[in-house]
Amino acid sequence: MFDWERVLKTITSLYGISGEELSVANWIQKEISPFVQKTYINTLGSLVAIKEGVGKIKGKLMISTHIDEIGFVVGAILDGGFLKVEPRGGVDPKILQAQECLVRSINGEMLPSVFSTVPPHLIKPEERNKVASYDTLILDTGLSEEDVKKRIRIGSPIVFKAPFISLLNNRFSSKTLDDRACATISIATIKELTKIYHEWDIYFVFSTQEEVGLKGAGTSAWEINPDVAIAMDVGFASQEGYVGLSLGEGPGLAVGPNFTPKIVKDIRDVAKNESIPLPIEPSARPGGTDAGAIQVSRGGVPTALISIPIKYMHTPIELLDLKDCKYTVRILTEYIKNLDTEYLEGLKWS
Amino acid sequence: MVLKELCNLYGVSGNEGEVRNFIRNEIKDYVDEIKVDCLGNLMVKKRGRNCSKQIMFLAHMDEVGLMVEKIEKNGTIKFQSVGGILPSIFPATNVKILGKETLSGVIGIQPIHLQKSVLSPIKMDSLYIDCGANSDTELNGKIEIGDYITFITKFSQLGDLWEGKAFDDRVGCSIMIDILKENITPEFDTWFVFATQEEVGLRGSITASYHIKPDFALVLEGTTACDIPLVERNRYTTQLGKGPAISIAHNGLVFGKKVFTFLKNIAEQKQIPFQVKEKISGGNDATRIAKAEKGTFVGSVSVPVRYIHSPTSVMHPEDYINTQKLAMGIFNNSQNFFNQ
Amino acid sequence: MQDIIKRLVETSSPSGREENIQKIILEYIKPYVDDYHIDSLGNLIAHKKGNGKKLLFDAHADEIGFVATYIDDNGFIHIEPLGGHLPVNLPHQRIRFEYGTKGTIGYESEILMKQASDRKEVSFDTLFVDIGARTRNEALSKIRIGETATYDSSFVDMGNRYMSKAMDDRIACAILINVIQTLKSNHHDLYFVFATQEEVGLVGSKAAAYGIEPDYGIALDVTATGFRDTPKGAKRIPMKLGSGPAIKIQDRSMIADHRLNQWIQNIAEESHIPYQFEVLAFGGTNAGVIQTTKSGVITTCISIPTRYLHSASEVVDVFDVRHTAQLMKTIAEKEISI
Repeated sequence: MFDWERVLKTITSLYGISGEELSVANWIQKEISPFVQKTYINTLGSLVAIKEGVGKIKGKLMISTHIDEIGFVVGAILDGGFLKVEPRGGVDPKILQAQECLVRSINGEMLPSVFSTVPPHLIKPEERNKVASYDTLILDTGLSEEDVKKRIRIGSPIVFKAPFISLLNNRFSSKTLDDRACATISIATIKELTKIYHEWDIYFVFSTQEEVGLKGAGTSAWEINPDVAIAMDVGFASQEGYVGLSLGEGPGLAVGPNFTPKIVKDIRDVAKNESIPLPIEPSARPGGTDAGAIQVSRGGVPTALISIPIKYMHTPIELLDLKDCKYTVRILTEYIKNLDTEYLEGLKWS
Repeated sequence: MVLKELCNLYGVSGNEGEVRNFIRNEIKDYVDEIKVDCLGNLMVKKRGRNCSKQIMFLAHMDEVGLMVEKIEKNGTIKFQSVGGILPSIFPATNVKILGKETLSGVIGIQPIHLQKSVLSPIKMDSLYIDCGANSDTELNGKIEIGDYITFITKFSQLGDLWEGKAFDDRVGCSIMIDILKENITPEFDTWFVFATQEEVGLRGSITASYHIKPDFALVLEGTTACDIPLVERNRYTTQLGKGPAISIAHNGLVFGKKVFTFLKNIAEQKQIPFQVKEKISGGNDATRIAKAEKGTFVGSVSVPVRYIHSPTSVMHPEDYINTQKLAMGIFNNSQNFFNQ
Repeated sequence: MQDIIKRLVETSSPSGREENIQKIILEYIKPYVDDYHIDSLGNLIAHKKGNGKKLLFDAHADEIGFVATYIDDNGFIHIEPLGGHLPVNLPHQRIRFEYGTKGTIGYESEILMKQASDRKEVSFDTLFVDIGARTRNEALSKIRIGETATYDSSFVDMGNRYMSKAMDDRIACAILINVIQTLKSNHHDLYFVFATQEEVGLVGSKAAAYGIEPDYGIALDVTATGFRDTPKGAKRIPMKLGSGPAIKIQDRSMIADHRLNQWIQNIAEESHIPYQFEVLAFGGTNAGVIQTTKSGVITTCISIPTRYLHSASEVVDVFDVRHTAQLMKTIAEKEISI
C-alpha cells in the first residue's frame, strides 16, 4: 500500500521555491528510482523519470506536475534588520500578517521569521480598514541588523512555515499541496505501473517554475516531444463564496479551448468505464497551468488537464481530500493501459 | 463568396470543427495538400512554381462565444465567456447551447421595474441563460458543464452594409477561400492557414507557424472600427467603406517597414483604397508568427468591423471587395517582397 | 566610450524601426567579430568564436517611441505609443519624427479644467502633437501616416552621471560594443544579440535565441531605482545609482538562474567589481524569453541602475557603467562553471 500520508507530509515540507527546486527533485528521484528505467534533471531543473513500456512501436505520454512552491524573496534590508519582501508567484498580501515563514540564509539555514502586525490597541481608526500591501509588510527574523546582513541578502528566498495536519474524513492541510499533492499522485502512479502491463513510455515530469510562468513544463515538453500530455494541477474546490469542484467527489477534467477534445474524451471514457467520478471543470479562459505551455510546444501536443480540488489555494493552509488523489491514480493507470500502437495511429490528425 | 455561410456556422474558440469541415469541403479541389494539426488548424497548400520560399496566409476560424459553467437547481445556466466580450452586451441576447442536444436559450435580466438601480453596471455574476427548463434534472443528458454556447445572429443586409456575427474573422477565411478558388499557381509555395484559438490567446498560430515555417506571412483579419457618433474622430481606429486597414503596430508587435511599404505599394499600384489602422490596442496572430522559431516577416491586413465581439457586428461590402483585391494582389506578387 | 554612448542615445530608432541604430552598432563592431548577420526581425547578431559552450549576450537596440496614426483637420498629429509610456508624463515633451520634423505633445486641456488634481484621463486618446502646422495639408507635407518618432532630447554629461533619452537600452549596447572591442580572449563561443522590439514584447530576442540555441544567456538591460536613491522613491525598489551593476534575482518575466548568479557574484568579488542585487516588482527583460528557448537556457540578467526610466531624461551613473562593462568583459573572458 502506498503511504500517502508519509509522502505528502515529507514532500510538502521540502524547500523548493520557484527557481530552487533541487532538493524536491532529489528527494523524488530517490523515492522513484527503483521503479523507473531512467531519471535525469534537465536544464531548468525539472526532474524527468521514464517508465518504459513494452510495446514495439510505442508512443510517449508526458505526465506533468510541478514541484515549485510560491514564496517571497527579500526585497530590502531595513534599519534594525527588518526585511521587506517581494512575492515570487501570486501571494495575496492580505493573508500575510502574523504568518510564520522561513528565510533561507546565504549558507542554506532556514531562519524562522514572522510578518509584523500593528496591535489593535495602537491602530488608528482610519487605518483599520486599510488592506495590507507589500509596501507596508515587514518580516521580522528577530536577528540583529549585523547578523541579518551577514546571513541574509537581497534576493534571499522565503517560504511559508506551516505544519502538515490531518483533518476529519481523510483530509489534509498544509502548505504547497499546490502542486506537490499532484507530484505525490505521480509517485503513486509510478509504483502502480510496476504492477501492470503497459506499452508506451511514460515520461513523468516534475516541473519547475510553474508559478512564475510555466517555464519548466514548456521546456521539458520541447525536450521530450511527447505524443500525448496530461498535466495535473490543483483546481479550485467549492468554499465560502465560490462554487467549483467538490472535495472528495473526484478530480476535475478541464474542458475548453486549451485542452484537446480527443484526449479529454478518452480520459472521460476511462473514468466512466471504471465508475470513477470525474466532474468537468469548464475553463473558457486560457489556463495558467502547465497544460497551457505544453499544448503549443513545437507543432502542438494533444493535452489534457486533471485538477485535484483544493481549498484555500496559495495559502499555507491548502486543504485536500485524499479520495481525489486516489481516484486520479486509478484514472491515470487505466488510461495508460489503453495506450498501444493503435492509439498512436489514432492520433494522426488530418 | 461564402461569407454568409461561414458567418452562420458555429465555431467558438476550441470548437471550430463545423467551420473547418465546411472550409475543407469548399477548397479541397483547389489545393495540393491538406493538413490538420492537433490544435485543429486547417493548413492547405497551393504549390508554387518555386518551392524555395514558403508564403503563409492566415485567418482564424474561431469566434468569441460562451461556455456552460454551471447548471443551477432551477434550470438556469451560468456561463463563462470564451474570448473578450463585455458583460454589458449579454443581457437579452439569443444563444444556442451546443450540447448533446442543441438548446435555444436567452440571456435573462431583471425587468427595469424591479432593478434597484438602473445605473449599476452589468456584472457576469448576475447573468444566466434561460432555456425554459424548470429544473436541472430536466437538462440531464441534454447539456452539461463545459458545453459551448454560441450567438446565433444570421448574416443579413443592413441598409448598404452587412450584419452578422463572427465577421472577426470569417471575413478573412472567406477571402482566403476566394483566392484559392481562383486556382492560380503562385510563384512560391503558398500555405493558407485557417487557424484556431485566436480569441483565447493567439494559440493556433503558434503551432501553425512551427509546421509551415513561413518566409513571409500575411494575417487577414476583421478588426475594430469605431466610426460612430459620440466617439471622437481620433478613436475611430478604422472606418467602414475606406478599404482594407493595414497595420503599422499592434499589441506586442511593430510591423517592419519593409512589410508595411510592400503592402502599401501593392494597394497603390492596383489603385485599391486602403487605410492605416490608427490605434495599436488589440493584437492578432501576427504577433505569434513574427516570433515563431527564428522569426519571420509578417504583415496584417484587416477588414474594418463595427461592434466587433458582439452578436451583431457590421461591415461594408466594398471593404470586402477591396480587401479581397489587396489580398489577391499580395498573393500574386509575394515574390516581389523578396526582391525589394 | 562616452562618444559612443552619446552617438547611440542620440540616434532615433524606436521599436520596429531599428535600422538606423543597427547600422551604427555594426560600424563599431564589424572589425572585431568573426561574423555577423541581420535577421528577418532586424536583430543584429554578431559572433566571436570560442571553443567552449555557447554564451549569448543580449542588449536591445530599440527605444520607446511613437507612431503617427492620424492627422486632424487642424493639422494636429495623433500618435500611438511604441512601448510602455506613462501618458501623464508626456504633455509638453518635444518629439522628433523619423524625417526630422519636430513637435511638442499637447493634451486636451479641458481635462485639467475639469479635474485639476486627477490626470488619469491623460491617455493617448487625449494627447496630440503640435508640429506648428495650421492645416491638415500643411501637416501632411511634413509627416506621413505611419511615421515614427522618439523623444527629442540630447546627451548631457553631468560630470559623474549621464542624462539622455534611450539610455534604456543603448547604454547596454555601448557596453557590449566596448566588450567586443576590448576582449582579448574568450573561452565561450560568444554571440552578441542587439535585439529589436524589446519594448513592445520581447519580440526580436525570442527569435534570435531560437536560432542560436545558447547554453547560457545573459541579458544586459537597465533597471529602476527606488527609496534609497531619490526622495521618497518607490518603496519596493532597493536598487540605487553608484552601487555598481545589479545582478537580477527576479522580475515579472524571469527568476534568474541562481547558480549562474552565484558564479557571477564570485567572479565579481574576485575581480573587485562592486555589485548590487536586483528584485524588481514589475517589468521584464529579454532574459525572460531567452530562458525558455527550446529545452531551456541557463539565464540571468545584469542591469544598469537608471533613474526616470522611459522618459526623455534617463540618468545613469558613470561608475555603474564602467563597472558593468568590466563585469561583462570578465564574464566573457572566463569559463562559466556552475
